[in-house]
Amino acid sequence: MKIKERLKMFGGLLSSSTNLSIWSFTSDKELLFSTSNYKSEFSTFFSLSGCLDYVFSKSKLNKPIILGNSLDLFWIAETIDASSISEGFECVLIIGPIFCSDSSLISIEKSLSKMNLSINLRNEMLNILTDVPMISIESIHQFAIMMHYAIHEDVIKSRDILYQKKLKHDNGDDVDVAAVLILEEESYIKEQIFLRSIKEGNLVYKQLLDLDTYFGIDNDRNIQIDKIRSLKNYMFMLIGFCRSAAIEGGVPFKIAKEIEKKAFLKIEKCDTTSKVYFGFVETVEELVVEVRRSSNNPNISKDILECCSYIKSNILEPITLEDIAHEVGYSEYYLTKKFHKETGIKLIDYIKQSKIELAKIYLETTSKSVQEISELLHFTTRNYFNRVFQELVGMSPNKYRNSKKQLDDEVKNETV
Amino acid sequence: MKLYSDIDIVVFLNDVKKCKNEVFFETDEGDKLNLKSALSQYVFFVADNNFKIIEKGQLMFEDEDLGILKKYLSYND
Repeated sequence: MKIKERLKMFGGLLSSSTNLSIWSFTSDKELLFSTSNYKSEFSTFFSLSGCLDYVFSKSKLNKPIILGNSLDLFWIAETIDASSISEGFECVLIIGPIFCSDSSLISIEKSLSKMNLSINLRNEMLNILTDVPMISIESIHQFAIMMHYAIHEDVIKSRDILYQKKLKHDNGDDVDVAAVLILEEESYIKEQIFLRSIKEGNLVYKQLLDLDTYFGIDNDRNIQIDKIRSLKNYMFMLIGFCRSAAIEGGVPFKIAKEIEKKAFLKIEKCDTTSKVYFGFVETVEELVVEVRRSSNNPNISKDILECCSYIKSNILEPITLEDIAHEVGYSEYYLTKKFHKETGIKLIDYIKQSKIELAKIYLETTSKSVQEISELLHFTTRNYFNRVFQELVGMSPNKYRNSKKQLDDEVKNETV
Repeated sequence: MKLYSDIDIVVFLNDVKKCKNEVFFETDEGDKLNLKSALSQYVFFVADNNFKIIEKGQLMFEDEDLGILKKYLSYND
């Protein structure tokens, strides 16, 4: 298949499956073509954010590059060499714009509300921005890899993808696009840990319940209806995830479903964002209480449960047995004996298990290397991390990551 | 002050970024945009694209930045 046919096929697949737009600019920065519904708007946003100049300031992009702007809109770009196409001129292929998370659009909506714009103008801006698809970082990497294949018929890995080095924020700070994406990735990991803590009935979920940083708590009754609507929709989606986590944690389906239904009715009646938020918090608390009730083991004391919560909430810190003993007010010797007696496992093994559970999330959801994950979880060496992982999971971290990826691909293929 | 209606918006906004002080554009509907903010720049473009605001609105800036902006001001004619 020739490059033009491959690109046509790639563009068609993108727009039909994800609503992602594909663009091409000549080396004179002239727009050659675009599949976007908002050509002039998004090409101007791309240009104003300095991305177009950045792409052409590089001599030639032989690998895909991820670019971003201060509104957390992202694009993927790569050069098509003049010799590759019959027209004989160099051009740049671009995919985007893309949002990486709901919070970006919600944050823009919030800024637009503060600007007190006329309704027509505000709605026009929102119409344009809601046309931008929401895609995970992992999928952005996959599209970058596919784009490179469509251009060069060459297979690359996520680590080969380049990132725009500097991005100017409105406050004048320079930030790295990779760093912005890592923040998005971290919020996804946080969400996974949050859901896992619900499944375990672990009280650490309260520390992760800082959704106000994403949405803001606004008591103003004159708030725009569509803002409350989008928050309610987001909360309904989150409650659905929490309900599934609670069921996995042992709550009978009927009870979890009943809590969810009650929450939907209550939240739907809310007329401010703060009421929606507190309705959500109450629902999560109710689900966690049910998980704890269903898994309640009378042989485990409150102190040992607190000890488990402390470990889970400080898992990324270099915690020692001495710290934990100090936290629950026992001597190290007494705590380790008590822990073993009540839970049947050694305290040190429980810490290892908790770290490996988190390592599994990192392996499944990020592109961090095994070395990085091992360091993040304070294992003394990568070999030691590999050994513990192998003992507890029955396979090496790399094999675990590959098996999960393979499973995901199979599910995706079945869905297609 | 009024702007020429046929300015190249991207070039104009890139020049605004070079100004030392804040630069505002007020539409005839009273929308006030700080043209040094990225979001306001996008709103400015969308507004002109859809509602042709440039010919009806006013640009406000400090005298210190006149040197950069004067080529866009229609009173120069």
